[in-house]
Amino acid sequence: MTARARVCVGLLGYAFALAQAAAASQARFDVDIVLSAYAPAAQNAGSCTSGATSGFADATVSVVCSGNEFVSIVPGPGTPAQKLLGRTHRFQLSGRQEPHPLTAHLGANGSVGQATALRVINIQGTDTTLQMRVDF
Amino acid sequence: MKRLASFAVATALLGSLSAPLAVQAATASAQFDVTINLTSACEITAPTGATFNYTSLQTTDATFASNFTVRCTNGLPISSIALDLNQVTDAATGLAYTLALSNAPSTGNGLAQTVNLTGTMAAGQVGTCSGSTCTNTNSNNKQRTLTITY
Repeated sequence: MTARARVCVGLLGYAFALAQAAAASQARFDVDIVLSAYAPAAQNAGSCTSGATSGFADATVSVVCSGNEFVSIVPGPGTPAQKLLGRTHRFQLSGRQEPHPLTAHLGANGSVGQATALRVINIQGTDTTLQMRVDF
Repeated sequence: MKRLASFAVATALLGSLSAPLAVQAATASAQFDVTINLTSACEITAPTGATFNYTSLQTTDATFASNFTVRCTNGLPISSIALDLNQVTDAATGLAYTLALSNAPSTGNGLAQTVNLTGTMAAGQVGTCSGSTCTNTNSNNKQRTLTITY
C-alpha cells in the first residue's frame, strides 16, 4: 500500500468516526401552562373582607386579608364616599381640595400580597366623581 | 449339498449389501462465517406531564417533575442529552420558566434508561391573560426538543 493510499484510508476512517459521533435522535414535547389571573375565590373568600360599613360617606374603605390590612383607601377630609354594590365605592372629588382628596395604601403591613402603588390624580379645578372597585 | 448351496447364497447376499452401507457413512464438511454488521443507535421518548399551573403574582415557584427514557445499543457511548432551550418565555402567557435535565446516562446498556426533567417557573410573575384563566395552547413556542447525540 502506498503512502497516498494509507492517507486516504486514514481520512476515510476519520470521516467515518465523525459520522458516528454526529448521530442523534430527537423527541419533541409540549410545555403546557395554565395561568390563573386571579387567586382562586375559594382561597380568598375566607381570608379577605371588605369594610362593609366603613365605606359609607367620609370614611375609610379597607380590605383586610388574613388579619392584615391589604388595601386601604382613605378619602380626604370632607370628601364624601359612598359604598355601592359589592366592592365598588364612589368618591366625590373636588378640584378645590389640595393636595389630593384621595390617598391609597396597598400592602400596608408589607407582609401580605403584592405591594404596588395606586395614585389617584384629581384634575385641578374639576369636580368629578371617582368610582372604583376593589378586587381581592 | 443343498445346505451348502443355501449358505453360499446367503454369504453372497450379505456381501452385496455391506459394500453400499460403507459408502453412505462417508462425510464431507465446509465452514463459513456469519457476518453481522451492527449499526449502533439510540431511541428517546418524549416526557409527559410537563405542565405549569400558575397564579399571577404567586409567592412560591411553580414546578413540575417529569421523566423520559433513552435506550441505546449496549456499550455505546452517549455524547450528550440536551434540550433545545433551557430558559423560555412563553409567547402566549408571557411567563418565563427554566428546564433542567438530570440523571442522564453516559453509556447505553441496551435497556430503557430514565432521565429526569424538571421545570421551574419563578414566583412573582404577573403574566398575560385576558380572562380569569388562560392556557398556552396556541403558543408558538411551547414545544421543546430533546436531542440525544451518540
